[in-house]
Amino acid sequence: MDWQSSPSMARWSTADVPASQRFDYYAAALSAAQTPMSVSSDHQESFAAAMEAMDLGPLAVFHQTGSGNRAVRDQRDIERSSERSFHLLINRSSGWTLSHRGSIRLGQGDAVLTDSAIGHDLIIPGQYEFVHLKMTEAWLQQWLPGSDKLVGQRIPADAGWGRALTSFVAQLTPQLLLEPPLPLQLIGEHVGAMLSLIGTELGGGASTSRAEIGLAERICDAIVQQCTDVSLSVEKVATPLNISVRTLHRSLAGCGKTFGGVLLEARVNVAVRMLESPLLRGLTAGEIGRRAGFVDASHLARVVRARVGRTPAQLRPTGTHERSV
Amino acid sequence: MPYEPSPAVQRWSTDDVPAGQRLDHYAQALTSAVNPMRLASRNTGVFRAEITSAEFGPMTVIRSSGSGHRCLRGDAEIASSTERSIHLRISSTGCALIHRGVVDVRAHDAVLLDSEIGMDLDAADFEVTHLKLPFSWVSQWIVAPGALAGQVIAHDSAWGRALTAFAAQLTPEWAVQAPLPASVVADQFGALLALAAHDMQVDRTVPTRGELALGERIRESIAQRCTESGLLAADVAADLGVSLRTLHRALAARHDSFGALLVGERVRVALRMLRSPLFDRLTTAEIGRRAGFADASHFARSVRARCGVSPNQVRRGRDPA
Repeated sequence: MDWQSSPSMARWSTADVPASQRFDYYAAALSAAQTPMSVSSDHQESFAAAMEAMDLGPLAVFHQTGSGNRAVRDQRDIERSSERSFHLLINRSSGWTLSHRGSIRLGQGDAVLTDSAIGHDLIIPGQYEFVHLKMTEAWLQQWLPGSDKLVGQRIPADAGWGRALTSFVAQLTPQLLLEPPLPLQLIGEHVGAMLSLIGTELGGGASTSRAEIGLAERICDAIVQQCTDVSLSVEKVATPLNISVRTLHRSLAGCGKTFGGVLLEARVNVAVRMLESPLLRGLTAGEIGRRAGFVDASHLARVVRARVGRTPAQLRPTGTHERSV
Repeated sequence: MPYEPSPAVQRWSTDDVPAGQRLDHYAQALTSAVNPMRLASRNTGVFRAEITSAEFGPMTVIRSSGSGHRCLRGDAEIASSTERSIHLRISSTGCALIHRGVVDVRAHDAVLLDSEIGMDLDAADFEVTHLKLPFSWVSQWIVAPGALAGQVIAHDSAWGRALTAFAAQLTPEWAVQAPLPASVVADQFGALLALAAHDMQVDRTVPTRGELALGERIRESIAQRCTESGLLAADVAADLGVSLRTLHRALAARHDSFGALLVGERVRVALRMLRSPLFDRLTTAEIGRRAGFADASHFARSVRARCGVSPNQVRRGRDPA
């Protein structure tokens, strides 16, 4: 599933339907937009809830507000689901309880990752304000090879990478996502990278230390890190890794790569990201090329066209409006 | 395969030296880990401080803690710094800072510093997270990185919360065994910095589009004529039909200067020649001259300042392909 250049938004609110239908209406909306489940409440007659959904591609972001309820997903619901998805849930206004893989208490602002292939029983006693990220299995697996380790664990709002993740996710408001200041893919990658770091932090021991990462991979990463240096040479990459220039070339050749190829690709990636970023609208394409490590503008244009099939000018954000803060 | 397994965490502590040398020892540690600096102790009590640092992709991750002191950077310290860098500093205690004006930094807020601008920082007992970011790397994320100098990112503002929470996780010990490639983590940080800077409105108030466009034309003109060894700002201004004053103002708006751009373009031309086998029969001095450098030692110094190696080493280190 590709990243959208600007997301589509859908809204549901119980205020749109007569009081007697509100509860069923919301339950149906949840099941259709997120994943099949059944909802119950002790106060069905006074129930009110609203939801905004933004589809970014591999990620969908939901903002949900409403009154206390209980949501259960059982075996029958699981069988009705078409595809497996993962869900990151944060209640920003109250504590709640989740039985998913064992039972856990979540405080206000804490996050938890759930798996649609496992049933859940979710009890929200008070008024809630959820930020909910729905992720495809294929996308999440790029970041969490062992996603099952993190599923059902409390991710604390006030410590470690959990604090970094929850404060980032809190900023993903509909207003921000409808006019994203950075490409949506970059925002998605941010969430992915932080989940990956949390997986290591909470999953324990799953980390690959740098020493275990293959040499070719380390060489490529060193090139990516320094690619905007116009004067980057093979020697400058080899020396800090304590390897000879010959070892560097051999190691890259072993996986079908060349120094020049990796370097060019890294520079194109930086340039494309900068060209697509609304925050850098004020820079000329020539200046972006220079900052990305290209010696001259015509080289940038040629390479970008060859890689992504579009000219640098075609990649620039089209919106003429500045995001108002 | 014989390669170094993982980069090390560097450590310094005033416990390693006699009481009388502690402040000097810490000043040396800061100079080597962060940037050249002078220190002054705040009180007569025993000074103690320690610092750890590690390289992490483009950035250097530094943690320090200790007793209150004053940190100063003046012209001498700026002149002896190698590459321009932007610094993000978050401290557990507030500090009084003079850096392009007087800045009041609260505890846990992030403040941004530019290595090319003088600084006077007065801090109480502290615990600091410090990230050193090359200027060239920051310019991938921020239109005018120089405009960040002296700006405060509040830890309780929207993106400020996300940025400071992220920075709090970056310790030297974590960095040397990070579970993700350094470039991925650095990109995350760059994106957060861009979003926070956008929130502060720093990045869009300073240079106007017109100034940026003129700055770009000036740069192009310098690039075309840089090999003329006597090139003056007035020549470029005349080419573009603008006054000398307008030229300097446009460059200042993007935190550039004529001299820095000129040397940068000359180095660029020289590097291209040094790397090309076609110029093998020329001496490095001749290449420097053709690139517009009037004297050989200035040429060697400029190349070294930008690439960290001498012109001869650039030649020898050439990719054989």
